[in-house]
Amino acid sequence: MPRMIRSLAIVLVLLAAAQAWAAGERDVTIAQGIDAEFLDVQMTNNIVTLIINGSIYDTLLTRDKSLAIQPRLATSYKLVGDRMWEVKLRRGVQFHNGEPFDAEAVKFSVERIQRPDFKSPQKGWFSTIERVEIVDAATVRFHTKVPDPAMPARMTLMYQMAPKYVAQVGDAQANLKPVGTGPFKFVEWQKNERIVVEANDAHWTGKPAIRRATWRPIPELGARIAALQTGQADLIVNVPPDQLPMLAATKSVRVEKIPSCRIISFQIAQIKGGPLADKRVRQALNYAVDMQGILDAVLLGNGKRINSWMPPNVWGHDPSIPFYEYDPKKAKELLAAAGQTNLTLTLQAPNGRWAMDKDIAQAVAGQLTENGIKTNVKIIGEWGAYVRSILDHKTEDIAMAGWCLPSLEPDHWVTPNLKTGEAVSQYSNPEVDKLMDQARAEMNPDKRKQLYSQLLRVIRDEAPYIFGYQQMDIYGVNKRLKWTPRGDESIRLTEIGF
Amino acid sequence: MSVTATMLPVVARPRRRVSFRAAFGLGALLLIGGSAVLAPQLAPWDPARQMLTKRLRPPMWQAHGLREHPLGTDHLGRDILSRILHGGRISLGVGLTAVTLSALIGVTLGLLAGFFGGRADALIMRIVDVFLAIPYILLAMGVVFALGPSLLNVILVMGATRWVQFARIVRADVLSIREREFVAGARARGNRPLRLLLRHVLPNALTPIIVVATLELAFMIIYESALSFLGLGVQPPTPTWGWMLADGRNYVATAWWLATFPGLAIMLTVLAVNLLGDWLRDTLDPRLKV
Amino acid sequence: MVGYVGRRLLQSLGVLLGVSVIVFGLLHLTGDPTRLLLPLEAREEDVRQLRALLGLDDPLWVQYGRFLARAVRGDFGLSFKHQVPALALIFQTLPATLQLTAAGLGLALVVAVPAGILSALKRNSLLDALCSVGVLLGQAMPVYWLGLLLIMVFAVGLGWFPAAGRDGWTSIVLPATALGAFSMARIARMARSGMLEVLAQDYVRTARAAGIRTFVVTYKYALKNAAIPLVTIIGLEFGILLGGAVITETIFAWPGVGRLAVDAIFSRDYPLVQAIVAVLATLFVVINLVIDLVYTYLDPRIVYVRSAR
Repeated sequence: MPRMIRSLAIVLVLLAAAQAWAAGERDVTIAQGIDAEFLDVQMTNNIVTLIINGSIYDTLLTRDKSLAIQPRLATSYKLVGDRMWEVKLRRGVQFHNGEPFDAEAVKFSVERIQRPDFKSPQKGWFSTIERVEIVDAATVRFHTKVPDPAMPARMTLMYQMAPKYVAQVGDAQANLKPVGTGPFKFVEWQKNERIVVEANDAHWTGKPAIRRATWRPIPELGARIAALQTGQADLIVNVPPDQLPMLAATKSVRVEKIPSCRIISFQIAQIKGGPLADKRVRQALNYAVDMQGILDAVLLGNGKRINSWMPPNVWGHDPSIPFYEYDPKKAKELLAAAGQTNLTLTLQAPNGRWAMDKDIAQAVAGQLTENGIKTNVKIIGEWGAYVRSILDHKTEDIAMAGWCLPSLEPDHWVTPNLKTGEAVSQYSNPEVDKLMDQARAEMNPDKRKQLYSQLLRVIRDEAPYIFGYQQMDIYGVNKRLKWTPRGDESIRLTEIGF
Repeated sequence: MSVTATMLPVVARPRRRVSFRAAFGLGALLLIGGSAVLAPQLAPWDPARQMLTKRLRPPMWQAHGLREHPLGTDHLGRDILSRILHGGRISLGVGLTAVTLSALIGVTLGLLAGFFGGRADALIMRIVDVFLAIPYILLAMGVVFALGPSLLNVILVMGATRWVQFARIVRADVLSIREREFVAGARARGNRPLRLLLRHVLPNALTPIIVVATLELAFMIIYESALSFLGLGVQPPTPTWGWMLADGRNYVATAWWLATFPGLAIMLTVLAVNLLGDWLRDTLDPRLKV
Repeated sequence: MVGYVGRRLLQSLGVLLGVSVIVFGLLHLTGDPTRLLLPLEAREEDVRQLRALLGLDDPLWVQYGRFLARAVRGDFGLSFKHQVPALALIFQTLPATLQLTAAGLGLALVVAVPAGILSALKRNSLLDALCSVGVLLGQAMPVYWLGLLLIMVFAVGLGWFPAAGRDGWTSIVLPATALGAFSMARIARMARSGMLEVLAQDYVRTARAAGIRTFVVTYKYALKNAAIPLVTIIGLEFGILLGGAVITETIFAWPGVGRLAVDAIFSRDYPLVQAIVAVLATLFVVINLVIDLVYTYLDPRIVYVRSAR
């Protein structure tokens, strides 16, 4: 027996991982739910992965804290013809390996994604680009297939890769040992354990305040919060509203929150036909739900109602569109007018995809039932199965749906979700289709804004959703950090101070 | 790979008194089973009824607790006691059905393997080995993904991944029974194999089957809670204890009663079933290696 | 003996082949993964292109043949999701899992074997009851609940161990405890019944009668013999622990192969799932093969039992 214990002890000591370095004062650990999928930034559309990559790579344009578009590696851009954008590049920028950043790199980065044998999920982001023309080392022109007012938004997603480096080491190594122009340099990646980056003091924006940052994937919420409380992590994401009192009770910790670009609603399967094809029924569903009451009770007020299918922090949103106010009487009248006084519906919701998703769904169903529309809830816990039901257009009558794309481009909220025949759309209406096509091609910003206003008003009236809310992103932060969150779900290391 | 059930000669000892542990197990189990059966009569509330104004109330003996909700309410203001009582029906029901299913599969294959021997035996035992070699949680996830999550599919998965125990035990038992005189006698009298199996071999293999079934019931309840944790368990509006526990785990620090009571229900049931199973084995067949 | 070893090896290969068929078939029943690998708003032509690149257009049997032909050379292809060789990902994460399983099993043995022996020596006493119920409690608590409680008490409350992740040896204590607790009851039961059997043996009784002290008898003779059935259960326990590791690793953010497997299944990463199951199954088969052989060596009677099959 003692021998057994002794060998066990030896095994433990031998196998124990290398001691963690003593945490320096300007080191930061950030815990998210999952690990990066790639450090080849062009291989991913996953938000967590993009956040991590954002410290290593730079984009041509970027968004400031108010989500307005700002120069980054591009110093300026202008429309030369209807289908041609000219972009001036920042001079004197170098990749971490010393390679210069220039027009060659921009062309390479775009064409790499478009290569048919390159398995990038970003292809759709740049599908309107016909070709990239090099004017000189610091000037490129993007020729688009159609007039594309979304090009500046697309440029905020054009992460720049080092052409010589990638050619030299190959795609696989470029993923394992990433090289970019970003404010941080890659140090190590232990799969599912940590990714470490250190300050790139030569970055053109100056020395970052953080010396070293560690990204840790901690999937279980309880463990993530515990890591924050014990000081193992300095910043954690996705804190549900229910946990706020506990975080408030921990001295070393504060809470930061911000309304997100993610909007969550209940998609009504209009294309199924039947009662749901009747606009009055869909409107009645909206009147029959006290959304504000549910947000207050379930999310403790952490969520803002939306008036149509666009979050307030995306360009194109129109604050003058009225909300559906809770009005059970009006709901009953509309149902009676439609001849649907005895409806039974099923509502599907995921489990754990969005903060308290299934609980909100249950509350919504409860309220519909209370107001005479008997609604059952079907929870589909596994996200793949949930997505498949949507893509196959086999959802239940109502499906909980959340949406946010990093482009923050208004078309990317409406077209995929509402256009006839789109993969995710459960709705079809020629009038709406026409408006969307017009708006996505309109090069005059004022006219374009007007088109979106008109479109969102029609959508509000048509009610293809029970309109829900703008999600509140909640973070737990160690008090030693100076940091406020962003509305695009991103975390930028350069915005963190001490 | 496979393990031999009988290795050393053993002197079975007769036991004189019913142990305290067995009495405790049986008592607890009767209590739990009884309250599950009588849930509709006992539960003070409809388990699905939401009262958002009364959300997250602690048990009645704590400050802010309400007498009408003895064990408190959850984050949608549903009565925990009622949910536990009703959840017990589903939990025990799922467990029992899954055990029955896995016993049916396992016993059949075990009987066939043990009785016919030769190629049938070799084939069946290799299938057993295959199922042992795939981690059961991963296998279960695969099956649920292929079939889609539902109450029935969860039961199917649990039954289909846990029959191996039955097959191995029954086979080992049949191997030894087969050689005994009364079976040889029945065979000599010209009994057909199926009849022989059902009339003579199966009854004699019943003891280990009962013991394994008891222990497996405990395992199934834990198993279901693991599937619930992975988001594949039995979904509301008919929550199992496992689902309630998995769902309430984020509240362990803020509203302890959400996870604790379903957790205790699971713990008590599994403990009771295991104690009973242990006692059954000790009394009926102490050589059994399960 | 040589013939026996050869036969067992051949059987093991057959088992692995069976595993591959089941996993392959099951995965393909879960449907086409291409759509799930791309963003929701992806265009149909991008979906088609990717499907072709992944080789999912071919008939099932062609895909299986390709998989098998590569697998025998140790090539399980690129992970759909990560686009790196599946095997490389596994070898990156497997050590963490082996470490956790070994620690969990070790801990279970350290607690359960003495508990089982004590139970046997003091049969039907209060101590026996306490030991049995004690180890049973570990089995009666769902591992994720136990894990979260451990984090609450020992990481947040007392600050003795880190809450999550894997740095330094202290970080393994909590996950190993949560994982090991589930195995304690079965191991203690084996130890107890094994001990009871041995204590009833003639030679032990003789030794006792000859006036050798109980302590010496217990440790020198009985324990040694009771250990044999224990060795077997460890092989099987390893498989159960690997299953438990899936959940433990998620709770404690332990970077092991179990977590990798869950992610892979959720994202329909066929090559990665196939590779993980193949590696774990091989491990399981090899460990049990070794145990069987060691066993046969220790106790030649077993060959005869086996050859009856």
